[in-house]
Amino acid sequence: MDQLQFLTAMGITIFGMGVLGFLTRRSGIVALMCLELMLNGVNLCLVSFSHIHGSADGSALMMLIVLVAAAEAALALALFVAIFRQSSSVELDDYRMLKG
Amino acid sequence: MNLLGLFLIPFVSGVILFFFGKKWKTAQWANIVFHAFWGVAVYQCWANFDPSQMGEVYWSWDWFPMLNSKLALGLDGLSLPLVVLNYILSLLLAFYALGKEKLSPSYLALFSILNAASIGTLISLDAFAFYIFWEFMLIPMYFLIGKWGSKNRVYAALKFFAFTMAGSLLMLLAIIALSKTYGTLSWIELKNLNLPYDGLTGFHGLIFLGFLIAFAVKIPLWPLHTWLPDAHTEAPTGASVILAGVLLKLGVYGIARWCLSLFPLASSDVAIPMMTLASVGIVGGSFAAWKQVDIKRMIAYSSVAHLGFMVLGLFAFNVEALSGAMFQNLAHGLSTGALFLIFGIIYDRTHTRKIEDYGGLASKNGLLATAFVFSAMASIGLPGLPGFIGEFLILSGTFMSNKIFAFVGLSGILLGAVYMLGMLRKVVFGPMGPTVKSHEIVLEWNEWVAIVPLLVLMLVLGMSPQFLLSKVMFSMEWISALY
Amino acid sequence: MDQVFAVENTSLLRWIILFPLMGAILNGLILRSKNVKLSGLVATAASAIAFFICLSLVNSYGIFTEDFGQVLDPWFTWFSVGRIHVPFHLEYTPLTGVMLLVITGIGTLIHIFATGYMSEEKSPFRFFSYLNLFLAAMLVLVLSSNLVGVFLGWEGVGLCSYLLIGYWYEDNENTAAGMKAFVTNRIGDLGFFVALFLLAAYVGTFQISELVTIFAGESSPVEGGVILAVLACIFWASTGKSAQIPLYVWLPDAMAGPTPVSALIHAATMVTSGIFVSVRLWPLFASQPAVLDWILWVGMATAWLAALIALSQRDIKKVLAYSTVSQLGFMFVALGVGAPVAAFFHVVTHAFFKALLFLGAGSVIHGMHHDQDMFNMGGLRNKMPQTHATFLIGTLAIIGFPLTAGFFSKDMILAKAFEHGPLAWGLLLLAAVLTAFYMLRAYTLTFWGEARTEHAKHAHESSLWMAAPLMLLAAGALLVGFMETPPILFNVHGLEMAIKASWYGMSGEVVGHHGRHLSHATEWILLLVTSAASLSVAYFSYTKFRDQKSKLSASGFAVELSQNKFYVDEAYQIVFLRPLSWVAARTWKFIDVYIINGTLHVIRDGMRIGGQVLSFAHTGNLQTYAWYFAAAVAIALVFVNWVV
Repeated sequence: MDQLQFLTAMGITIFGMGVLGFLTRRSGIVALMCLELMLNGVNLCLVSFSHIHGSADGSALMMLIVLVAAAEAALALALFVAIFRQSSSVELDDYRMLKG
Repeated sequence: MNLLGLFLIPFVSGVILFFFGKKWKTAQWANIVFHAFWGVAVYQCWANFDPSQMGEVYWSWDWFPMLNSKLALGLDGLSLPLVVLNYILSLLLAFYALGKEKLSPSYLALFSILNAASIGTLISLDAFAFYIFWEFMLIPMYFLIGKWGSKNRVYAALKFFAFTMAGSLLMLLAIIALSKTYGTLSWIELKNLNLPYDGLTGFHGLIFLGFLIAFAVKIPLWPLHTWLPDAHTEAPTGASVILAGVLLKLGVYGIARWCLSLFPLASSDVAIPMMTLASVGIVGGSFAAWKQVDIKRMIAYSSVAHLGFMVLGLFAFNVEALSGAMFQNLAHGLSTGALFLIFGIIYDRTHTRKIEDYGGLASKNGLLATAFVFSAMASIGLPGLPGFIGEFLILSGTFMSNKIFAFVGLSGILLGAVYMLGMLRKVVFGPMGPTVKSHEIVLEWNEWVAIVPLLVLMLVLGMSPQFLLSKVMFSMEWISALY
Repeated sequence: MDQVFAVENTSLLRWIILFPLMGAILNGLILRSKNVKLSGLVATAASAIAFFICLSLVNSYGIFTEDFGQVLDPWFTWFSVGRIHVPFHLEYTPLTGVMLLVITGIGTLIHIFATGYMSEEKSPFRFFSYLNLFLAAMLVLVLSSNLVGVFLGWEGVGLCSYLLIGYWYEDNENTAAGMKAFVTNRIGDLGFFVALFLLAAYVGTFQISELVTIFAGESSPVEGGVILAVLACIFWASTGKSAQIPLYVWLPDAMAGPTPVSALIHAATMVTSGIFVSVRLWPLFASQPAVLDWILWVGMATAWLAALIALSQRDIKKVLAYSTVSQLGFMFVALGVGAPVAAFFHVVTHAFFKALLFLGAGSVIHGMHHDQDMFNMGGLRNKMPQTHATFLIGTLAIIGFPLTAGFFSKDMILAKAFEHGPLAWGLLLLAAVLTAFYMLRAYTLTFWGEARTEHAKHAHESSLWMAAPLMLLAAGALLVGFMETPPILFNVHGLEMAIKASWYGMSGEVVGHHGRHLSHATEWILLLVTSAASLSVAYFSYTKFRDQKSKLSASGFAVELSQNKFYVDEAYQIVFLRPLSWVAARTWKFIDVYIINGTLHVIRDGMRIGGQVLSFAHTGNLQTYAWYFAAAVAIALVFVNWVV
């Protein structure tokens, strides 16, 4: 297993953990953390490919994602705080307002 | 010829009328002023009309190059009578609306937009432009029925919209196919291409059917007609008049313009089925009209029967029947328009459409009863009134090409007398019914202004139709020469 | 094509139509006066002016003349499309001249009568407006130079007939009768339509002059079958308008209208238009003898059926109505045996005496306070002497009392029938005898014996307005017969000349006609037999009903049949109307409501249910959607990697 395969497998594993966590955990905060996990899995892949190909594009994209993810995490956490204040729960099952 | 004005004046006046807010009285009069402007444009087109051309483009604008579409406007013998009819009916409705209290400027605005769309449909000589206007007619009509209609209006509006939308989507497909294949959508260029024909299920056959079905829904041809009685019954008076007087006619116009002219071989192939459906429509529509208990529904079914005559005339492919169909278009627009208008005026006072509630109208208002009987007689084709000339030309043309259908058509003439006179007997004559007894039926001046010109026009067209026939004759001969 | 006869143009003809039309508009739309004198005056003036124009026409162009060209009023082109060219031209021929005088002359008298008769009306302007409109339409029918124009008049008179029958519209029965008249006539008119279609498709002209000169006979450029079909269709139309089997049923019901209407429209003018048109087109009929046979036997059957029904009717107007149907049958028999002159002669004489009888009946009804049942009358001869005298003259004329108008025309028809064959003659003679019986029955029941009710005891003579037209018509009923008399009596042939001069030089000889001419001795014998038979039966009928010894109405199966009009109306109801109505209701309910709308609603409901089912997938839970998303991505990946 060379370096690239290892890094890619690592990224996919992190991403898969994120997906599984997002689909199964009921807590909104955990789901959010899993979301970040997915992003980081993707970031890892981006950086590895960037390194192998000797191109800065992937790294640049990674930087952008980290930035957006940070902003998004801040926003989402603020939303959860607001939601918690309203109905004292961050369990995803308790929210079905999306139903038409 | 200022064709752009013909279409822009009602459009702009419609937009302006939307901004009148709650100023209903001002809007009514403004509407009449707008009609005066529009009338100048219509008159100009009538006076400068060149009866010896077909499909000439007077004004054109390259508005959708990527769809190969131009906004090409023209006026010929096919469209001229309907443009004039549309204007006259709309003007008379403007007068009719004068006294109404429960309406708002947006009602008039929607009418103006509707006029712009129907005029646009009539004068565009480009398939895509035609389609745009054709579809645009739906929107104001939908709101007119859905907002100002009677009890069952939402059902009727939806049915109307769904039916016509389903039909015109096929037309859109056909237009896209034409555009992609030939790189042009101009009527005259398509005509000059002499589109090939490879059977009804072939590429061009399907394009043809796409057009045909859209028009058949609008006409409406049996068995696609059931939206019409609902729409007519629920629509407010003005919308009924325009629906019967203009919108249905556009189906007949569309067949003549886009089917008969561009696809003569395919048209010949569907002639027998179409005439069969038309005949079924004539008989079935008359039967249904006979058994109605609702006056507006009865008039609507009589329209189904009359429009059957026109389809019969279209697919007889000779100049007599074609001219008859086009003339019947006008005749039916006037007579059915008058029936809806007169009944609408009565309905404004009595608020019931049931035949059994009426009776003895003649004792209450003799002149109005006379007008009603007059329109009914025009509708059943009494000689001397335009319906006779239309039906006579259609049926003699049909007789020349196919005798059986002419005989079926004749049965429609007989049944017409049965249902129309049956209705008159119960509504106009007889002892005075409770509804008639308990309501004052006295007409305002503006209502007479709306009715009388229709009656006079019917008489003029019935006794002296030649001034109009001579204007449209070239176009009819042009089409019949394709067969 | 060359016209061998001279054509003269005039614009006088249109005014004959325009004056009654203006009268109708003035009365119906502008004046709308409730004053019967004013409305009546306007209408009568319009009609009288038309009459004087006709007189001046007849004066300048001649009527009983042998050599005649063509007098045309080229008014305007009605419509002209492709092979269909319809000018609105009016045409005067001597035949037209006679008919014009009858229509406007009798029309004017009836207008005068109506001014008295309708004196208690609430809206007399409506009545007089319709009556003038009728005259205008009838004049279009008579004057038009082409068959489409004739059809305009043909349906126009039908409209006026409809309006006038239903004039007292508040009574449902009247409007039903009006509608029945219109619809029955429309059934006939479909035949006219087909005739016009045939002409448009195969012949290419509607002009009567061209039809008669070019398409009659051997040298006709179109197949005989087409002409035969055209004529059969026109005859079918005539059975409607001129009340023959099978479409006669509307005429007796049409008596629901005011009596002057019955006199003018349903006796004197409109109902004879079928015969008039046939006589105008006679050379065509003569070239197609097959159609003449049908006409003969339809006419004969009608003459009999109507006479049998008339025997037992109690309503005085119904008797006259059935007698009209029967007399129209006589006219068609005359056409059928190839004697258009006799047919038209009977049209003219019948117009006088039947108008007289109807107006007399109107006068009686007026005097009896609108009771029309003859069983309630009796003894009116003393109370209404003028009416009685004129009614008597009418009765004598219709039964063919020697030297009255009916005598000459009926004798001519019988003589022609005898030329055709003894069977036709014998049957027709019996029908004439029936006429004598029922007419004397009506006359005697009305005017002789004792007054049977209070109304009859206090009946009063009508005013001079009504009596004067009666007298003039009575004079006509006595005198008009002298325009055409048999060779053995006076030997006048005015009408024959007029009619033959109206065929544009065609002879009008029936193809294959054996042309047997009766010797003078035979003519005398026929004359005597006819008169003797009619008069003796008439006398028998008179004595039978004068004394009123026996019951007024007999009983028995035959009488029931007659009283119930042979149940023809009921049969039509059961055979045609009810099934059609049933089918109409069912087709609408089944096809429109059940099948078409049903299918639509199934589609609509299907969409609605489908939507509801699919909406279960929308849980609203974020993670459910995430699962969908993940599943979709997985499927896409599988698809991209392994399938494509």
